[in-house]
Amino acid sequence: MEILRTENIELSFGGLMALGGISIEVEEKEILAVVGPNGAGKSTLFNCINGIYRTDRGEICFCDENITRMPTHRIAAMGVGRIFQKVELFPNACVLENVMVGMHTKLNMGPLVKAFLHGNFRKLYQLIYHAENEAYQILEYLGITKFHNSLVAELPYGIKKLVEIGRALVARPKLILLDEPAVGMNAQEKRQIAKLILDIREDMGITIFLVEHDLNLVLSVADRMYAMDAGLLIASGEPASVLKEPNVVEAFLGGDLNVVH
Amino acid sequence: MKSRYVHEERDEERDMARNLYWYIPLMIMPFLTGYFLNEMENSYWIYLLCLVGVNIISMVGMDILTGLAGQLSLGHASFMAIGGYVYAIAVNDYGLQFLPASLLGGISASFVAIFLALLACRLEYLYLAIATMGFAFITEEMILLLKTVTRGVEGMAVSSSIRVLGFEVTSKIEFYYLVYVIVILAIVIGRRILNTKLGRAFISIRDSDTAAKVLGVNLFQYKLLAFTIGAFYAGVAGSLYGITIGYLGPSDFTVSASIYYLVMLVVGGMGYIYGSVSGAIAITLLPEIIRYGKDIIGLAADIYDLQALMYGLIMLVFIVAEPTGIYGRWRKIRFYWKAFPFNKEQKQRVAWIRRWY
Repeated sequence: MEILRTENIELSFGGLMALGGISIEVEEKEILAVVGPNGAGKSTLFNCINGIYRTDRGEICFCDENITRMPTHRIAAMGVGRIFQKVELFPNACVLENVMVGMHTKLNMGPLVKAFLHGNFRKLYQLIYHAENEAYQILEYLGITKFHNSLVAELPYGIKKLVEIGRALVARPKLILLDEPAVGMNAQEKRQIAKLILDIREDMGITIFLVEHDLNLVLSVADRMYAMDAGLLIASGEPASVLKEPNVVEAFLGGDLNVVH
Repeated sequence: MKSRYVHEERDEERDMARNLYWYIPLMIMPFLTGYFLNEMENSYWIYLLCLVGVNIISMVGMDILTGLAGQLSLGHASFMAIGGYVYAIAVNDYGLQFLPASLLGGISASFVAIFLALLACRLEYLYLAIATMGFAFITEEMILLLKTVTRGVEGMAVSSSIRVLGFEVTSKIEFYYLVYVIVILAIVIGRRILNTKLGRAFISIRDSDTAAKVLGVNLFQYKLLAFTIGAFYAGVAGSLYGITIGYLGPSDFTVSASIYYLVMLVVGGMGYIYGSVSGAIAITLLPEIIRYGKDIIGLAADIYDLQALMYGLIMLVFIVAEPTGIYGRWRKIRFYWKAFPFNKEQKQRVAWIRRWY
């Protein structure tokens, strides 16, 4: 069953065509990758799915519901998580608080008031610390509990990236849009990220849609892959076969190889 | 999902982190101070500390609006003006009691703030500051123009004898106690907001609005809420201000008064509530410090000139040397001491190093 579907979405900034009719389908519980050179429109596609950009034409459906014109926060509440390429954490808050912000859509006053009115104070206590406990569990899952009380601004880059992944995971989304998780990481950290991506799918059953430049990472985690260039889809299918297609090679390595040599 | 999570251990850690017994003496302190000042019959300092309390209430509101939600406001004194005037009119012309009248003041201030926020919530930083400053100018002019209601330049007298829940508050010291009960309520609620979904949403808007949106925070709704809460605090503070001074005039709520509140916020430190409280105390008592300091040094300058100079100087020093304010400095000192002499692990490490070197 497909969880996300876009139909011919088009977007242009002024005269520049960023997306020229992209149609993709994301199956449930799969790891789907999009590759392409810089400026191919991969992040723009993510921003359209998230509702940060509004598409000019076309339709985006998530879980059989049209989200094309839906405000960003409602798309998030439906279960679309997002991890940015540039770390977008809240630098003046501690790690635990950062992750707790991710619980935003899952918290409401209803159960609290109910527990209070029923005089169920044990339940009330649990509910008050619900967000904190969930956040702490996620930090434990990612193995970064010892940083829970430190300011985000003081952390190294790799940990920041993990905190951001934790912040997206804590709300238990159905789909995560992972924008270049391995950018600026060394080989060991890349292996860890690859393992983490597979683990997340395994343990929580979350569909993962990622954009990545590192083809080794993509080959090791992705079930299926799309290649993009200049706002258009140029190939799709099994990762290994997509990378062999001539137009993908051309887009990545820049023109006819014979001319260069 | 696999998890090695142990609930009990975490609880213990949490209780260790939040030792609450410090709060009790801190809460009793203002009441004790008031009691001793009353015994000494020092009515000037009682008045001054009432003013400190009023400014604290106002500043907690501004910290929620500017420090937490990051919506820079140069119209905070105008919210106070609305609260104060509504209170004074409700009491003088309609004979309302203290509680409903001051609540009405707060609510009307937040009502006006909603309209301001509807216009201002698409603006950011400097543009927002200019928009709120425009609002401050409008309020100032409106007070002068609506002569039939606000008495224009003459201002209004506000009675200092009030009834609160059946108690007669007539003397200054009784009013002082009332102010500090409200102050403690304001700080507790402010701190509570900081640790809930609401406060975290405010922080997320302040630090990165794209990330906030993607995490499901409705920016429009929460900016509106920040304005509403901040203005409510200011409105209540405005009504108490009227009672403290005994008079309300347009000259109390100018744009420069708003800037004076911004100075308090910056000097105290934004985003932790306690910071704004310390800023309110420090800046409100500054004229007194200057007066005593001037006598000690033997300076013959005019007190008002010196005051203006000192505001500028203090603002400059804080911006350059300590942008996180008094409370930020206090946090740094606390972390420093916690990290070095009082940390078991660190102590052992230092002992180990000393053994070898």
